[in-house]
Amino acid sequence: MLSAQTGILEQVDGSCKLQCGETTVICSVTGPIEPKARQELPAQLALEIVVRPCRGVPSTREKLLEDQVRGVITPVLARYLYPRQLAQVCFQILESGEPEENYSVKELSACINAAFVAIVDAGIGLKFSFASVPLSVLGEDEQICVDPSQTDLIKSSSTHVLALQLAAGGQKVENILLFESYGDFTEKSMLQVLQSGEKACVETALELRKVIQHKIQQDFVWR
Amino acid sequence: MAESVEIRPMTFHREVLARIAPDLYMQRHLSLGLRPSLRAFEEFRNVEISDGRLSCASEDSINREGNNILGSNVLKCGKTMVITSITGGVVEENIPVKSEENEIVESYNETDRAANFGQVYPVVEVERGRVGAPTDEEMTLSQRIYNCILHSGLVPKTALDVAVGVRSTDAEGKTTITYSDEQEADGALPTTFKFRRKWTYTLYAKIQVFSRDGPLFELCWNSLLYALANTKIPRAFVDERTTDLKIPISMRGRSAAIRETFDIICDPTSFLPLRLNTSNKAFASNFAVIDLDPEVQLPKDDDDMQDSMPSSVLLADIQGEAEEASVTSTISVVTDGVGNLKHFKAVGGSSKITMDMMRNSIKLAKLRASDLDRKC
Amino acid sequence: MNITDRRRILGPANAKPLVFDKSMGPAQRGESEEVSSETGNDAMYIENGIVGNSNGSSYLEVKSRINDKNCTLLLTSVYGPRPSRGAFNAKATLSVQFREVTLEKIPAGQLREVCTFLTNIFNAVVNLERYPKSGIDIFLSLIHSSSGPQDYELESIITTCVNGITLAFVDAGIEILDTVSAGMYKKNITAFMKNGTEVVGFWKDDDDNSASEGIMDIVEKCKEHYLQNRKTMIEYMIRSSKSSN
Repeated sequence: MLSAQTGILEQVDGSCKLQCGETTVICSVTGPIEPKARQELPAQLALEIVVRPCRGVPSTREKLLEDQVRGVITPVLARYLYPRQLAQVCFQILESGEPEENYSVKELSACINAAFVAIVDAGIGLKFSFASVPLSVLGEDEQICVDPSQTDLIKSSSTHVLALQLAAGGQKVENILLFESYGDFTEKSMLQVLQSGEKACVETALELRKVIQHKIQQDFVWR
Repeated sequence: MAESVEIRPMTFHREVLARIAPDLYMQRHLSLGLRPSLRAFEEFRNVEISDGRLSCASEDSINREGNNILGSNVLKCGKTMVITSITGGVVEENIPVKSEENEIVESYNETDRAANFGQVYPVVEVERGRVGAPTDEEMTLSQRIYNCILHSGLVPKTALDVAVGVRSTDAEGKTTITYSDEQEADGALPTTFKFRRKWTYTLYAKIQVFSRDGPLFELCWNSLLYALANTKIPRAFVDERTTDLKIPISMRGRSAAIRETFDIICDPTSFLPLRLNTSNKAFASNFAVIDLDPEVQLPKDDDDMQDSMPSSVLLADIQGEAEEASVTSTISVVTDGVGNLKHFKAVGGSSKITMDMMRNSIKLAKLRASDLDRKC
Repeated sequence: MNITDRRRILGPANAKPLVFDKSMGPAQRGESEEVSSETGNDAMYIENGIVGNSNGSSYLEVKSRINDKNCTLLLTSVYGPRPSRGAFNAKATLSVQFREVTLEKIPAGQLREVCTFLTNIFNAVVNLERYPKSGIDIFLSLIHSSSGPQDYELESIITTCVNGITLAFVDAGIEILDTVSAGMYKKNITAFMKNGTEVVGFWKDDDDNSASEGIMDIVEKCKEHYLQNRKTMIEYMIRSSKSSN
């Protein structure tokens, strides 16, 4: 389901191409670098996040994606290690995998996962690992669909994105970094989504760890 | 050599402390069981609403002419004031020529949920004493409201259809307007004028915020909801002299037919309320989760209170610079009074959001929603 | 080049604005209301300090004495004096921004003219020497304006702006030479200070009604209106300072 390659871009410090079902995204991380004066934070690493859509020019939709990604990355980065510095995290959506005018859950989730791998690739300090999954709830019997396909997404009565902060080798859930839902749902179905989302997140995290393991093996192949 | 260094505690004025050390200011308040706004942890602010009498369709409008505001709301919450005005436009839908003969069938689309709902195009502006392009905050607010309106299903697509009437002028120069849905009352329709076109209204919302004092999504959303609830859309008609013209053209050897667009005219005296899906009407509330820092708690008078202090607390309705600056974990809930949620967003920063807190926030949001619904 | 606004959600490109049928509007009914006495006062509602994050603000609701359909709601906020970047300036720089909050019907060219006019008035009135190396920014937010058959009436809007800015300056505690206020007569506006002995601004639009009248007569007529407006404003300020003490 999920596949990723690291180090695909040469001019940046870290990069990752991640494919998750119908969605593909490239993430690049540059940093720590010198910030512009207005971005500089006296005691912490500043973040600049850019999302480019798969076609056309960025609009408010991409701004919202940037805001959501920022909310996830900010608390997990060890920002105190890099005072008065900047990290640029850029995303280029290659394949959206969803009707863009109405949905953004699959892109968001792919961006968050790609960011994790790319940040590790760039060697910027992370306090925790994290992973994300998109979910949707289908039909009368409230069937929960993890990583929905495009058709499932359109049919669904509600869509959710879950990003979790993980510990103990990606096994233990520490905190909810982002849980965002749109549509028609109840408290009960939401908590069920959260439950199955947690499981799926842990699985995704293990996949991502494999990618990183592979990357490290490659990096130290000369030893 | 040994110079004695005297350490004296520094004291700051309340406002100064709030500015230089918002987190300390916040923690000191919390240890007293209060918030910087002097509210209790789970206490909301009061909301004052009015329609501002700005809409041209409202009964006691201050202005009816040259005014095409269809719905409006002025919401005041604490110092913050949100002014929402709804305006409209008309779009002629592209219907393929083939399907012209068939009746346009309106049915619930099972396979595409979002296709059944109409959109509202919001533009949020926050006054901040600067000029320039919209800020990131304004853009994300607009987009979030847009997503939320669409997926909540508040505005059914059919509510935006234009039931076009015909204006006819008889021999004496008297004009009458006939609407197809009023046929039964008038008897037979005088003309066999049948439209092979379809028009829909588009709704725009301009949301202006003054005195920003905390997160805005919830205030803007609630204001928009109140404005949509009093929105009235005008009846519209075409003049009988307009005909369904098809102009044949040929260009580079290819021939096609261009259909002339109709001029849709709105009736300034007759309005119909916008039919909302009232079951999908939900109000927004926000919450913050903040860890209590045991080191900066004020000493308690009785010691047995110390250990009963929870490690983190849930605060309702974030307000003010100090609260916003020291809070990293937030929960935003859009729900109605009985727990049909339309939007939920939890952002966990450094403080852990527990299941209990999510349940509690939904419970409080439900109470708040039924309270806000009564003001409608 | 793509010039569509990507920072706002604009909706479908082929949408047309609603066009109301003017021939059958409610205007037809109340033709007789147009004529009314030119005496009497404007109904003015004032509230200061509404905008929390500004240095001073005022809210004005004015119903005209002449035309009861003429109603102007204006919110003025003043930001400053705040440090301005760049080269040293011995005097503060003043800027005026005008925005229509609900409906946008005034063309941009006219708005620019109004802003220049207001900037000129208040450059003469604010004690700019007291605030070196700073900027004072005035934001005018027109919430509503109406004037019977016309889409908007610039004269009453400008008059309200002058009064609103003065009140906002008072609220902000920025030093002005006098409580400046404006008076309107037909399509002419005169802004006065020092009890009507000094004129700080004069605006005249194309107008057939007052074309025959001499300029001094027009100024005199404006002065009457100015004195009324100023009285209302000063009464409000005294009342609010009493209640706050």
